[in-house]
Amino acid sequence: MSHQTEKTRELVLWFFLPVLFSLLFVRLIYFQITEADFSFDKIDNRISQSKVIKSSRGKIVDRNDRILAEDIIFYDIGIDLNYFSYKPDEIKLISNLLNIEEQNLRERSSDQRLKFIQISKKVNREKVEALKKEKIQGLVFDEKYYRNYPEGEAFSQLIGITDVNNDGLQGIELSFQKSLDSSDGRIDLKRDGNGKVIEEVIVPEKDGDLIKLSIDSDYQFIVFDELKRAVIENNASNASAIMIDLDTEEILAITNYPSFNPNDRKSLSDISLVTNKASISLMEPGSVLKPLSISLALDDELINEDTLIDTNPGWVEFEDYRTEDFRNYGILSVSEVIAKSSNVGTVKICSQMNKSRVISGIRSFGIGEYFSEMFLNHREGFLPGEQNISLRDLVSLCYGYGLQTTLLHIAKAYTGILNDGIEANLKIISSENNEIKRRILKKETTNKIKNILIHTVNNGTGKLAKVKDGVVGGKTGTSFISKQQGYDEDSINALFVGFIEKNSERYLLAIMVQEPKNDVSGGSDVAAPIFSNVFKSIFASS
Amino acid sequence: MSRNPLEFSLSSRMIKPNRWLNQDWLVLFLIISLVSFGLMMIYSASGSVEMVLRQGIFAVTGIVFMIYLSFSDYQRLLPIYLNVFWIGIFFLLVVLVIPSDVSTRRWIDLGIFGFQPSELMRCVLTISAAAFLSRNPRIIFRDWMIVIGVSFFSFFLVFIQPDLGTAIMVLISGILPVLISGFPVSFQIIGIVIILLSTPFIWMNLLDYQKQRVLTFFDPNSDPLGTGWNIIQSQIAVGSGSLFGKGFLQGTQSQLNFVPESHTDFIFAVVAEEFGLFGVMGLFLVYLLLAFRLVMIARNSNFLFVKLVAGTFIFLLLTYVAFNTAMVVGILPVVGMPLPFLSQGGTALIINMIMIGIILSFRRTA
Repeated sequence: MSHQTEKTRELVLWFFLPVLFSLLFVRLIYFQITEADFSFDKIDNRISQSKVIKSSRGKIVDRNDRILAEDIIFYDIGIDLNYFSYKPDEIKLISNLLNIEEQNLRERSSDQRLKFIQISKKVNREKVEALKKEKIQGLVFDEKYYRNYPEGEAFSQLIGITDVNNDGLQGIELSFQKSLDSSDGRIDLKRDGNGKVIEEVIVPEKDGDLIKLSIDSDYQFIVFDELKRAVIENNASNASAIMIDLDTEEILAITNYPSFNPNDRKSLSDISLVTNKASISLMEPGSVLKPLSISLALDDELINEDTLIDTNPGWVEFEDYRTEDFRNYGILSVSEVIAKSSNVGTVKICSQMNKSRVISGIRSFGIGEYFSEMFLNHREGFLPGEQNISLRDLVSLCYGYGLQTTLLHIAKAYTGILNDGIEANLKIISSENNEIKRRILKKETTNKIKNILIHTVNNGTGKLAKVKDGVVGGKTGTSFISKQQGYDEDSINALFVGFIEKNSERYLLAIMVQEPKNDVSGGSDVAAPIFSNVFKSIFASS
Repeated sequence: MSRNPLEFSLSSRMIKPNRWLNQDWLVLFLIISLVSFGLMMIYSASGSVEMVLRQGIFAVTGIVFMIYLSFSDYQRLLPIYLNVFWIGIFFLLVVLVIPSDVSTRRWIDLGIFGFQPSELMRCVLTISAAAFLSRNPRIIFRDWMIVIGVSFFSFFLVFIQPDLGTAIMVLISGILPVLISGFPVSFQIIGIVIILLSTPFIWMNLLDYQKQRVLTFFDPNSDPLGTGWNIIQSQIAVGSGSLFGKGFLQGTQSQLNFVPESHTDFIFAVVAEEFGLFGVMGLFLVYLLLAFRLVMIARNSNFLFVKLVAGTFIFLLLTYVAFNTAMVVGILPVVGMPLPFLSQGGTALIINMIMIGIILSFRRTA
């Protein structure tokens, strides 16, 4: 073998190794530089697994622990089409059990592009058990917590609803979101290549807190039923009411009609039905404000309950604006001014008071204020400031026009008056409250007002609110609804705010019926009867 | 050649009297470094001290053989070398005959350790072929054909074990001396054509798992939990090593047993994962330095036997390194080829060291 051939052979032999090593080099650079991140992700996916431990949102219960909202396990059902048999009898069985159209199911499951189809949501345990018994291949059951509202529409605006993530959207669900919210737990597993668990970290789930409301479901149902009846009877657009235990200042009922079924959102056609009108809907309160403004004059001793006011001739012109009564009541005592709801008398009393006293006095009842301590969605409304109110507007404010407020504000103001003139602190959850409260009226003044309110029910506009064996006082209100063209005399709010004392129980009930379309006069014949009916039912049942 | 690289080491021409100092210490150092690094990697891959100890015993045995042979006079041993392949054939037949409880018959169980005759065959076939071809001053055609015949016979014996990877290496270790010794190019071409034509026949005779390995090589994701698993997992391991690696014992893929056979055939994945691209390059450098050093020894010899044995061994060494790493990173199909000096496996380690020892003995007598 010559030296030259030896060299050539060596070259030939050494040719493919460098080629292979260069290939290797390129391949390694590709993997270790270009693909490194991808490999990291892969490793993470392989090693780490997470399992979610489901947590449930807090329950909402009433004062007697009756469940108003809770998480219940339902099942979302789907079909993994890779494992599905497509047997006609299985399709028939599924569609029968889940109330799906057989034809529809057959068409969807035969879609070649899909690997999985969702066939039903929120299916209860019984149906799932029945399906599982059939051992149908490919059916996938996804256990999920769904919010359930066992007491239905009477509570739906108060309790509110949750979104797809089970977070509060409205009502108590929203205002107590932080407490009700739960956080899912997690089990993080690390597995080795043989599937053996080598590390396990458990983050425990945290269920939401229980929220116990001051609401009494029995009263809530009674109030709701009466509102419903009133709306239907009077052909009204809607009605709201708030009932308060005057001793504890707890809200016992707050409801609206019409409402919606919170368990069947598909039927919710009008989104405005979700709002809790009792605390959110703004209105001009009309005559129910008269006891508030007149109480200020009584408190300042500008007048007393027997002071006579000349309301002749049934109207009065003040600052070039004419105010009329329903009819000419002649000479009235201050009690009668409230009992007969005389606008003229109110104007005459109010015109003697100074602006700042009226505005700050009405504000001290909570009108125009936002209550940050109350866990109930509400709007603060509008009360004009003393700088930008004319004398003419001031006197109309005294009989309930020129301001915007909610039924909740009115209820709070009356609660303050009826609790000896100490500012009320309405509560939706039962709690001790030791905060020092402001006095808004002298006790003597509140006694006078209380008597006037009783007189109003006994002899004045609130006669239909009477309840047998109970001391009832209250004030009716009929306010025209302000529209774009001004006040429409056919469009009114009928209100009644009253209290009842019976067997050492003291309740306040504020009622508003909006736009009764029948030929009615207003608060006295639309709202006051609701008061009477509600308490007749309550005392009959107890 | 202007300068003899061997002059960098203590050459016999410089210091004659002391035979202990007359040694290629660089080669010994490289081998011991590789083996030590291998032990570290075996520990990282298996987490088993026992496995490291066993491999350590093999390593020490190998080193003893290597040093002993490096001091021997190969010319006196030539008659032994000429016939040593019979021992290999004998054991290959024994392994096929003795009963085994597994479907593959690659090992002879010697109680404390298993002995792999195919690895021995790889070594003795080269030595005997080289001795046979260099026994006369001129090689006649019949000699080549005899060597080729014996090589294919040995290949067949290993192939039916079955162990395709080692069988190919056995074949190469027999054919290479033929090629290096001046086998005519025209016949080489004829040989390649015959091999190409017989490919379909070989394919048909492959076992299912062997076919599967070749198939999954082309698309590892087609069977990600089966045969493709090794390739995918080792590629992920190599990739996640990035430039500098995750550090010794920190490779999640290999530590958590995601890379199967990570202490044997797939040990390169562990190296790449824990020491990154730079570590891998360093390892390649050590292999190339070793090969280069051995090439110099062959170059400086005037004896055909030396050239044939050294050439074949160096070629096989680099082929093993290249094929093994190529297999781990998915350039070549998965065939059972260990990474020389690193992979766990006693027979291969000792055989490799014996070969180094024989080559080093050429240097002394050169």
